[in-house]
Amino acid sequence: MATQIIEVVEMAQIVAVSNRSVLLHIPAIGASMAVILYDKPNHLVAVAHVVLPDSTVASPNNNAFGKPKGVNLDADANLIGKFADTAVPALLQAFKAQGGNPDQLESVRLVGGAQMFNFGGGSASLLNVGGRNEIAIRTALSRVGLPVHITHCGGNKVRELRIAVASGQALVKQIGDPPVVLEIA
Amino acid sequence: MGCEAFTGMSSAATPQKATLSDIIERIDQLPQPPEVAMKASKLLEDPNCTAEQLAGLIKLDTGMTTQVLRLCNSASYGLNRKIETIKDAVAMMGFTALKSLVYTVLSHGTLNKPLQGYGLDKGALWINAVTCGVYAKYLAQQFQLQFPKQVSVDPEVIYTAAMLRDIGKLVLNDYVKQNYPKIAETAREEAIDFMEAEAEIIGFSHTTVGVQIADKWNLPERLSLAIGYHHTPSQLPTETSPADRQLVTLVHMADAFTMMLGSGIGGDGMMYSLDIKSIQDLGCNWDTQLDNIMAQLVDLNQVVKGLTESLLPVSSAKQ
Repeated sequence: MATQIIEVVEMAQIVAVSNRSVLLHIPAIGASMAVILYDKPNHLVAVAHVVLPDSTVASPNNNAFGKPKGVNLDADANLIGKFADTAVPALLQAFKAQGGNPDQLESVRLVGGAQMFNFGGGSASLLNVGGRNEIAIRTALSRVGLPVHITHCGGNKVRELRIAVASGQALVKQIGDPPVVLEIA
Repeated sequence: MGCEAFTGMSSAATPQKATLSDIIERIDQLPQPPEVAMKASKLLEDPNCTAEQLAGLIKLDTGMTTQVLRLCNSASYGLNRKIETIKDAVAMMGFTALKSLVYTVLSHGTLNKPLQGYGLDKGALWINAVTCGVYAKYLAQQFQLQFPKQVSVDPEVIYTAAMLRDIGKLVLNDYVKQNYPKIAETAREEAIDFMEAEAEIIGFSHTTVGVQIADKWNLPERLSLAIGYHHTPSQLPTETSPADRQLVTLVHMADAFTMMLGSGIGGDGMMYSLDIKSIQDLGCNWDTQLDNIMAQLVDLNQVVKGLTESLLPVSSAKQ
């Protein structure tokens, strides 16, 4: 039996893997989201673990309580994977660089985007980071001409995600619920 | 995430209420921190305590000395030379930083256990605690930079408060294990926070039980306030000092970000609401700063990893 290599996909990380021994693992997805591209003929899985929707709003180099000034992506390439608008094009680029063919994509899957409760408070849509992430990722995918086939998004629970590169199978677990395999019907 | 933790969980239709005597008995059954740890904890809150006294006490416990030195030498502290003695640690890091480091070691002994009721594997609650501590300390430092003339909050104290905030889960775990589906359903259907649903179904919440543990262990009042009100800082008693109010609100914010970023989160998930009023009172404009803060906190996960992996086996120090 082949040895399985577990690779953890950290927040803001983008990976493209064709090694069939690899199991990609994201132990906890809260408001963040995983975007999964799968090229079945090439046994290639590409994943971006996106944290926030918009690179023009957040400013990691400024005081947290200060007015955001925007991000200089040229100054820090590591920021690209953090935001939906920059991560999705970079994901597609990484996918192609590993030999992936967008024309033979079996599926584009989205996982995550949970949110905290908001009981009648203001700023409801803004506090829903998870929901905003999903919208931003769908918009970014649409810009590069990619559809969304399967989603496991929203709610108030954290998700655990495992993706087997050999089969392309993605398994989502949430505490208290049975595991769900994300397959095209 | 301990998804398998609920295997075999009872789905009893009748909620099991806890009584005060049950809770007190379970608090009494919690393993007491070692004597040196208890003494260190008290010493840390003594304003007259000297660095030499603390170093002298830590040295009495080989295990604690080893763990403190491992933490000092972890990449998270970024010291440019190897620390070999507790005396060196005090000199290089300063007394205040050493205090929070000792609390990190103390909390490891207490929180590093599986909590099936909350769906947390061994290590998850502790990683969650350290994450919240690191986030809260960073928020406090940023808050001081932005508002230097406002009441000062000690980032090291906030770190400790954030780490201990969910200590009540240690005692409530068995009750939540038996009642989880009902608690989660109640929270959703009645649009209340998970801890309010705990109180409704079990009779106690992890915050109220946490306060009782804090009292039993003679933890300082401000830590007790953080434990009791970290989900609801705007409900703090009116006589709460501005400094303590800031402390609890910053812990509340750090707790929310820890949930949103998903570190060591259990079955209660993100079933809590944000106390927007207290956050606004702190001077934070949530409308413009939420994403900005989150973007920065993500980068601290490497610090958390360094801290936790220096005390946990590598295999269990995954977030």
